[in-house]
Amino acid sequence: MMNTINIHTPPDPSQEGSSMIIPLSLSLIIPPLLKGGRGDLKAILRNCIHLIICCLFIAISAIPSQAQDDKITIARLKYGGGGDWYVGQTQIINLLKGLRERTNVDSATKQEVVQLTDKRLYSYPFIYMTGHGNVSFTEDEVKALRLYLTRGGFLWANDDYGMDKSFRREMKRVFPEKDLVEVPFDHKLYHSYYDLPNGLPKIHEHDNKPPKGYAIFYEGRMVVFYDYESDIGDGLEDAQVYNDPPEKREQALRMAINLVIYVLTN
Amino acid sequence: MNNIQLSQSFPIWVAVIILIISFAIVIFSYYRTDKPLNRRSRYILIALRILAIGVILFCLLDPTVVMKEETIRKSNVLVLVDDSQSMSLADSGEKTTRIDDVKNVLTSKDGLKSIIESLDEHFNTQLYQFSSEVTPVKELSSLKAQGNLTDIGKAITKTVDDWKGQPVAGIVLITDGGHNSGEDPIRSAQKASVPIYTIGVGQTKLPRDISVSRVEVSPVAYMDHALPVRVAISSNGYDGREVRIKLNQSDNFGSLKDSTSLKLDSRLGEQIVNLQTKPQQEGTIKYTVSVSSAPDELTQQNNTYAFFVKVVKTKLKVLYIEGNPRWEFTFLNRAFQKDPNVEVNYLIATKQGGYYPQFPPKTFPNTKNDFSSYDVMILGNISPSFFKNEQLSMIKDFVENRGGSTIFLGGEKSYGDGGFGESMLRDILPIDIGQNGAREIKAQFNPVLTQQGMTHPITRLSDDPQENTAIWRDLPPISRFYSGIGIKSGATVLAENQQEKRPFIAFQRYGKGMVLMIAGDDLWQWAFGAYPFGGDDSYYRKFWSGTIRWLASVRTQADQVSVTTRKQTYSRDEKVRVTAYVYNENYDPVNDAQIKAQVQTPAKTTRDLIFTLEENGRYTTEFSPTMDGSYKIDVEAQRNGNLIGKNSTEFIVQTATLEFLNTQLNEPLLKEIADISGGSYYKINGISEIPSSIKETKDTVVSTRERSIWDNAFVLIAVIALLTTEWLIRKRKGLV
Repeated sequence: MMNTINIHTPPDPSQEGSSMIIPLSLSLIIPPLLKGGRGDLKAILRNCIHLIICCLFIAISAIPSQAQDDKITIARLKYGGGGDWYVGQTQIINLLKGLRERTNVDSATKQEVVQLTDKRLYSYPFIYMTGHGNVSFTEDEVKALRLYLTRGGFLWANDDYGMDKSFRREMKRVFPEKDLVEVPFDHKLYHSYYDLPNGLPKIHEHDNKPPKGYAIFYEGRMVVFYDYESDIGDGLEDAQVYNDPPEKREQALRMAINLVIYVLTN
Repeated sequence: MNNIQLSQSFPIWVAVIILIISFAIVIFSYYRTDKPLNRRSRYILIALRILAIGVILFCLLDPTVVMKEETIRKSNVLVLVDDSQSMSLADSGEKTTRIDDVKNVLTSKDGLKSIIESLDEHFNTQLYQFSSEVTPVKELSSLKAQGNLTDIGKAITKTVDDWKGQPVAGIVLITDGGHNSGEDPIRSAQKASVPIYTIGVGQTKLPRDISVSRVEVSPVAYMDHALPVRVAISSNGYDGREVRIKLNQSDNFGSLKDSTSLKLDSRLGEQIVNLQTKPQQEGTIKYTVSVSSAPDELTQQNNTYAFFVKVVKTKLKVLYIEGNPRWEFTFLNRAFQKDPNVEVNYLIATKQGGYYPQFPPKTFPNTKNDFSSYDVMILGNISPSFFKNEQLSMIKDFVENRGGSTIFLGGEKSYGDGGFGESMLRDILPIDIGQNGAREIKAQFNPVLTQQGMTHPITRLSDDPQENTAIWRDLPPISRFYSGIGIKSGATVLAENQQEKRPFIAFQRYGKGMVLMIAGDDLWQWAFGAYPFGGDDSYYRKFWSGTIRWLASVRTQADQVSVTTRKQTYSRDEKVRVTAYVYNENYDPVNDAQIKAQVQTPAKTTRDLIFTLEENGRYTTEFSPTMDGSYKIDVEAQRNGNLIGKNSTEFIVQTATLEFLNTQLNEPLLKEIADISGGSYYKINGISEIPSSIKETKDTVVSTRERSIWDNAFVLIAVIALLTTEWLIRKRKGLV
């Protein structure tokens, strides 16, 4: 049952935020027109310019309010240091699309970007980080990440290649008392939606090492999942980006969906 | 003052006309006689005949003489003396008790006469004693303060009723004002329309005393889980003294469960101490809270307080059906995992119409009985079309007939177009959603509590109302709201969206169960979204645990046979009203059950109770306790020899605690009674003013007597004499 793949395109809800602008603009356009009326063309023109500027502001400020949309989304973590936190822009979008198409998770169409010191962090119980290079957190970020994770947040870290050393070092700062432990194949994570009896799939070959899934558990709850030597994120990219074969991409998507479903149900 | 009245049966002018006509006929007849008549005889005959007719007409008019007599009578003064137990106290610095003070001032001769004697000069003085009942005083000197309750309202109403139609110049009410039962005395005073002169006995300043004034504890507790007991201690005159407060279980050993010490400080008003215990056994357990006593205390009777707690073994069972994995589910699931008293089964729908396999029970309950093992059901963001019709009717049956409770926890699938508002569950929703589903409003708002919401166990996140309001104001906002059309009649709104002026949290009873509706989602933000603002998930968890507990407590009363008393604590002279409910296995009321019931007294003797049917499976009886202590009532219901069920309840008879709770003179009450009734207030030493201040109303009693004038032998004789004389004259004149 779980392995059937239903392809269907849901209605695109990306235009929802703009509906707010119309009543707001009306409320702004009417008072200046009334005030500056009586044929004073210059005044009307001036007011119209004001209005356009106002509308632009509103349009811009409406964008972050999309974050408050209750659809499930995943926020990409923007971290300091030398890492390319932004790598693979289609990864989350494809995962969200996969969730929408294959499961009944009501996912958003866009990814969000968040920093650890941002208050909006707590709108996203699931954050994603990836990269190749050096990950480094400030002291404040370490504290913020620990609070976030111990209070109900979840971090998925995807090693795109070369992030391992710095990531482990930084996680030790966040959880000095905890180690990243390997998640056994019979763990619920590998069976939450799709059955993955061999655990973490290997998506992208770098060093000929077996893929490993690590996790940090806090009070019995998985708070960090770290995929090492697998690069699930790579397999989530649009097909043309890395030319991964379809079966690898399918495996990556299944693994990622399992992870989201697991977090949502635990 | 005498006058004459005539009959009302016909008017006087009729009599006059008859008289004139008869007169004319008589004159005419006597002027045309067969034999000639001389003038004198004619006049005499005419006069005699007219007179006879006149007398008969006079009788027909029924003239009566009305005689009025006026007498002057003394009016009454009713003296009501409080003989409740609080009157047996001696105020600090006094050697005599309040009741003895009263007896002294009433009877001691100040100068020449006692108060009663001076009252008697102008009035008829009627002496009553009152506490919970009011009776005439037989002998003032032997009056004792033994009443268990004080009902000033009844004392006023009943004596005024007794003297209805009689002149009452005033009521003299002698009391400490410790009214603690029955109707509002101010209303009684207003209705009485008799001036009430109140006499205050005792001191208005608080007497030296230490008492357990209040105990707050959940009536239901869970075995092996901590049961917090909040105790309020009041004290006066012992500031700085260290006392010990103990919590004992009233078993055979009276074992001590918890204790703490407290430094008394009367400036704080009530001082709160927190005690706790962990019940180790199932059933109804009696506990006693006591505070150590001090020398010279006013009374030690208010230093202990007893209460019952029903300890249940099983965790509350919750069935949570969710339409799709979402954060609302994630965080609620985590909150439930932290709650030791709740056991939750989850069903999360999959896209294919089944359920996610990682959670038991994996299937919707098969039968109504399977369903009824749950206390509360939560319906998340799920469309009614997901369910089969018989499953929807099972949900309805669960609420209506099994006393289960259902929570609707927002989402566009459940409230939007095609949602529950259009399903057969429409009736059970407390909010009217309307035809095309609720309007979905994506604008942040903070729910605001209604008046009921301030104190309701579901929304009471703090016992302090101000703090509670602040907590709700500071909770992270809700970002999506489902605006219904209106609230159903009989439903209660706990919180609303003030921007929309529409209910956010509302509930209603449906049949035996409750239905709670939360018209929004993103409540999980109360847990997770609180951290950036320095908060935590404790209010989120408290909200949910309070909600589940309260809804489940509705169900615990849904046994087939249940028995309750209206109160948990009674005083000795109160009647205990016991109510039993009997239902059959389908929860239809049983009206032909045989009820065997027994009450066990504190002396371990038993007595049978006879219940009578009121209606709809409700049976009642009354019982008058005779001693203090705990009582247990066992009820067993049968029908045609088959057992339907058994149940029991317990209550405490704790006499006099009410009388000793507030012992100072309640002057404001007495002043208000005097004011509203047109009397005045005096302290006991000013009682000598009373005889002169009561307005002497001279009462004239008018009595009337009526006597008929015609109704005697003389009238008859006169008529006969007139007609006989006329006949004799006519005979002589040869006219016969």
